[in-house]
Amino acid sequence: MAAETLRAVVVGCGVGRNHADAYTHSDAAELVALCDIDEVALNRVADANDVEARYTDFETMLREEQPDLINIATAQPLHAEMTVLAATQYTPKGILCEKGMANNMGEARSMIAACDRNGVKLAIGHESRYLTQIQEARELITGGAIGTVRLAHGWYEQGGMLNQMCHGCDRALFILGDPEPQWVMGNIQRNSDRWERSWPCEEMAVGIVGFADGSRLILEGETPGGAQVEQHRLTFVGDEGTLYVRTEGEVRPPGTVPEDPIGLRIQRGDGSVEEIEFHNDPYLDARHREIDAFARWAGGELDGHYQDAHFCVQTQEILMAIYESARTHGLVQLPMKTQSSPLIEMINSGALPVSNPGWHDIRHGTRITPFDYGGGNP
Amino acid sequence: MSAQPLRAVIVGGHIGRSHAMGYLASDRIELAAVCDIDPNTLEEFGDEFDVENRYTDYETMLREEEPDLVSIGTPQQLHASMTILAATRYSPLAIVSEKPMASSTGEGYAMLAACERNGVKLAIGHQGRWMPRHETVRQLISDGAIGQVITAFAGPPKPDAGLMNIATHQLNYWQYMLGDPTPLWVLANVQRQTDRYERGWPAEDLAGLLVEFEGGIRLSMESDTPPEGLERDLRVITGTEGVIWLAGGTAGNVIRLLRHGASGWETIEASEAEFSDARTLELDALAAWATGEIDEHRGDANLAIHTLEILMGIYESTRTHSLVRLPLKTKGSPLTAMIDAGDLPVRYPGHYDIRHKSATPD
Repeated sequence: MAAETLRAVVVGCGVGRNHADAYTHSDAAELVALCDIDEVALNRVADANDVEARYTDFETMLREEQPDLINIATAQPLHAEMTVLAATQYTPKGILCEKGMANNMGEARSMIAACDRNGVKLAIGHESRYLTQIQEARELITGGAIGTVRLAHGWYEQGGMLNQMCHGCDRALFILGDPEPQWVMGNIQRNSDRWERSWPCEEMAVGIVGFADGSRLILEGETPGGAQVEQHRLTFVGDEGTLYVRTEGEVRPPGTVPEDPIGLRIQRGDGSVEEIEFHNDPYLDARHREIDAFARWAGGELDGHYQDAHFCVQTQEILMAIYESARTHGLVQLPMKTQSSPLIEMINSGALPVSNPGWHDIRHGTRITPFDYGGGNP
Repeated sequence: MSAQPLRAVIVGGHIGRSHAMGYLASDRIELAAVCDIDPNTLEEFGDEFDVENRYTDYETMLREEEPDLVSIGTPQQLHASMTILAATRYSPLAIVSEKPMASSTGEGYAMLAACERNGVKLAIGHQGRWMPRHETVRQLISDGAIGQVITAFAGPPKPDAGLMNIATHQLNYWQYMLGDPTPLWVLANVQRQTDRYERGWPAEDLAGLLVEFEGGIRLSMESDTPPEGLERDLRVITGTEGVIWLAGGTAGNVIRLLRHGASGWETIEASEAEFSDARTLELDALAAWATGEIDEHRGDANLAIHTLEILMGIYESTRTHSLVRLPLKTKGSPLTAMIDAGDLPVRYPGHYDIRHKSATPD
């Protein structure tokens, strides 16, 4: 079908540079405008992609451009507000919002509700769902290659839960075939004044996720490593075999982009071991596929998108439930009842005192004004 | 060697029964006396095992009997004081104290020190180390059947287990299967929203934990988490070259093994054994260890202290919202500290005890 070329805009010219680049590689959409409050970043990305329409105000861009596709690549604290504004006032065909989806469950649900009510398709930027080896892992698992999966264990080395472990959690759920999590038991540590792009961030986390069939997903974020977990980042145990998602990469310094080649090793019930060799499929390539599919999904050419927010919201549930489990000292049934961020609640109530003082932000090199997270400025 | 049988005494007429059965089954040991503060329990206990010397006072028994072996089968909060009293005043050859070793690591180390200084061998009653299934798994792992261990997972044991009551056994025999690596840190959380006790000592409603051992092995474990869907066992060890499943129920004996390069799953049936059989082996080995016939005992408290470190590490991680490195700096019980500080408010009131029939708070 000769689909019309959709008109796309991107807000946020940090990570958004990858979104812009992806549109230039897709013939399903045309990048018509860019927006950033920082004109230096805006002009750099606009020049690189030959985009004339440039805005420093998001709503002005929406009003002027009336886009079909909106990519929101701002920092997480702004995702809900921008998504809801775009969906309710300007009803594009689709919105692709970066991860972490939102600050809390209330925001995440309002994003989905606003899009559903206005017929807007909403995807969350977990592009690893379009990585070749990750898709192959999903096909193996959902195709029963290791029988019924009973246990998965993932370890993520850096970057905070909402920033990086969200990718790992989402990747595990995707490979498992997007089962619905039932409950979470977990804990976090925040002994230093740690932030991620001006939003409070824990230092490490652990979560046990229970599913209806009794299977479990264990998630570790930023816990001390060890050779085995560093090379076997994600392990799936089925009643007939095992699948390891492996990396060759060194543990990376915080803030760097995960580009490690991914390899799979599957051991089937007949004892055979198959190495699906390490393949360097850069995230940027996955991003190209993600955004091309997004445009085609929004335009009606494709029936679904792997990153449909209705799937990815489960990652948000799990991460918030890890905070909630820490906050309440309890097992948390999903869907979460608490709509605000339990991390912020803990910080504000004094439940997570900073025993090792010193503000630090793992993504902003310099201190900028924190977002209003409800706790006042530190 | 045709030595005189060792003279053993037992305090605690409930779990002490399993010690009595073990002693009676060993020809190295003579059961000399039993003790319980409850006269009815004592009478039943003495009658059942045909023991004439019966005491309601522990120290009187030690003074009168001067035993070679002392079995302490009382609730956990008494283990330290009874072990230390016996070791420092009556220096038997060996003491076996029931699990969990103690209520806190401070108590646990005091027990170790008292026994060490007085030349008393101290074992903790983790007889799971003599279950053939666990012996087989330990051997498989040490033989490299699955390469280097990456992760281990132990689903919840039976309902109403409690960390200090049942999960302590589970943790201990997992350490054993993994080759007794030293635990490095714990990141965990517990829930205590009801006023739950286990034999008069506060217990949590449920727990989830992650431990890293030396060698990069991580063990995740649950206690009293929802059992839905777990009609099949979920106890798994993944390695760089294979996977092991423990199947066949808590006391089952079936091991499923998939090695890299094998022609398929191997099912290994360890010999059938009850926990009580393991107890007999444990106590027979205790006698041999006490007399110097063997150099090591699997229940050696120097190994069991790691179990106690992990258990207290779970509570400490909960209390401090932190990954806690072992050995712990906090020597008291972080669980009781949290309760006392109001950090674990009871949301669903009503005192109950998962092992005492009548609820009597201490």
